[in-house]
Amino acid sequence: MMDFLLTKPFFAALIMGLCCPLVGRHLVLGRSVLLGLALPQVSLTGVALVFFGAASGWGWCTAFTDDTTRAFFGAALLTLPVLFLLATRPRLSETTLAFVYLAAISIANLLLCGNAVGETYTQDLFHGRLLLISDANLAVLAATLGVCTAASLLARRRIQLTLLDPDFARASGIDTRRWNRVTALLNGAVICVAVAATGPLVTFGFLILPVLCAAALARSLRAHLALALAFGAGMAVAGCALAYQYDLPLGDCVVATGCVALLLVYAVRGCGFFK
Amino acid sequence: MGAVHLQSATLGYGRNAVLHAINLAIPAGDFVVVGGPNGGGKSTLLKGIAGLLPLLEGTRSVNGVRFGYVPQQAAAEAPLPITALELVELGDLGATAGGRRARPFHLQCLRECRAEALAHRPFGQLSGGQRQRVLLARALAACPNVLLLDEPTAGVDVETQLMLAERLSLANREEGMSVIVVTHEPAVFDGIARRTLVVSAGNICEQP
Repeated sequence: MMDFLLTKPFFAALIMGLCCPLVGRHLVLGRSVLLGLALPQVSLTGVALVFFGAASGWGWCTAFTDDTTRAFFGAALLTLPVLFLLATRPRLSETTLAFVYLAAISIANLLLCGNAVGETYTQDLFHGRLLLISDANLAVLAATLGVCTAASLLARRRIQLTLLDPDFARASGIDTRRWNRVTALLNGAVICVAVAATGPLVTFGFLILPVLCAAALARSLRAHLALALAFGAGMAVAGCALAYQYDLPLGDCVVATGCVALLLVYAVRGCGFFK
Repeated sequence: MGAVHLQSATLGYGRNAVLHAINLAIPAGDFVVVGGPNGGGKSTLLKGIAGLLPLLEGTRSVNGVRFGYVPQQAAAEAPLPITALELVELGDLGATAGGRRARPFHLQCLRECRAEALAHRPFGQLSGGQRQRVLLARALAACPNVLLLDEPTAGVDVETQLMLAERLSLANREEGMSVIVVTHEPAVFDGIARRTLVVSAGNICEQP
């Protein structure tokens, strides 16, 4: 078991569990949970685009030496511009986010038609590519998520106020446009790197599930932050242990563990999904 | 210091003007109650003064003004758990560019609004009146010289209405703060307000 716990997939999951909930808090505070679902899909569409470009002989897509680098570039190529475009709007409607999600998923499928290499790679991503993560991927994931987490923690009060009550923040002299852009950049960097390294399912799971679990138990923002990180780490550890014990797909197992945790927390607290 | 001027200002949302070519001067230390029918443009005027809405036409001058803003309660709903004290702590971010003030200052803001006992309770679990006290404390934590309140008396009990009126009177008369209150219950501020404006059908008129 110790050998297993020291492997790269476990560390990748743990890094995700400790960093993604911070971005998830931004999405929940900004009343844009669905953005956490739509953006990873946009990242995946970016990955599909560069694989399509490589198969079609586009020069800038064939310049990459390996599939992983191609995936990182593709994810960033679409995610950051889309996020900046969306960040200019004060509140994103569910309709907009549903459109983004549907457009992204259909375009990705069309781009991957007849592209066996790209289709295999994105299928792996879709199921959670934790087991296949390379040393280079892990390093990029750790560096990007580490920097973004540190920045999110340092600026958390201004980000929180801007997302929570933008009118009050603006009236108080805070440059909400600037802080919205900073938040969009942090969210975008975390989401595109996480999707390229581990896939949209694992990314969305780590973004949202720990935040919702913590929200049902905490009474303050400080307690919520601590609990969300604890749930994220717990999800990673328990998911990896279960996947190893019962020989299950790792990404799916980690997310399923988070879902079970959320159900248990809601049952204990007497919260309802439909309230 | 703390004077607000709107000259020939047209305010609205997108391209739709709600208030047309209004002229308004609010000198430092003024206490203005803004009344009028629903949809008349009261909140639009408040947002225009605070700079939350861009002017469609005209000019806005706010020399030396530091705003404190109390939004309608629904706007302050938090999707994550946050205590009253944490909300007040966030309130002084605009006033302090560097390090924020210490906890005793934030507790003092709550105490002045008779909400110190609520400090560690989740904001989402408070009643309407309690929330209003906390929102006023948050606005005061910004150390404003112009305080803007959007329907602070809506849905709150008489005791809270009296507390609000008393605290705003103190802020105005003893601390020199300008106060602009949008309300459907102007009688709450009788004897405190210096002027009453009525906003209706896109225009403003001063009530004698």
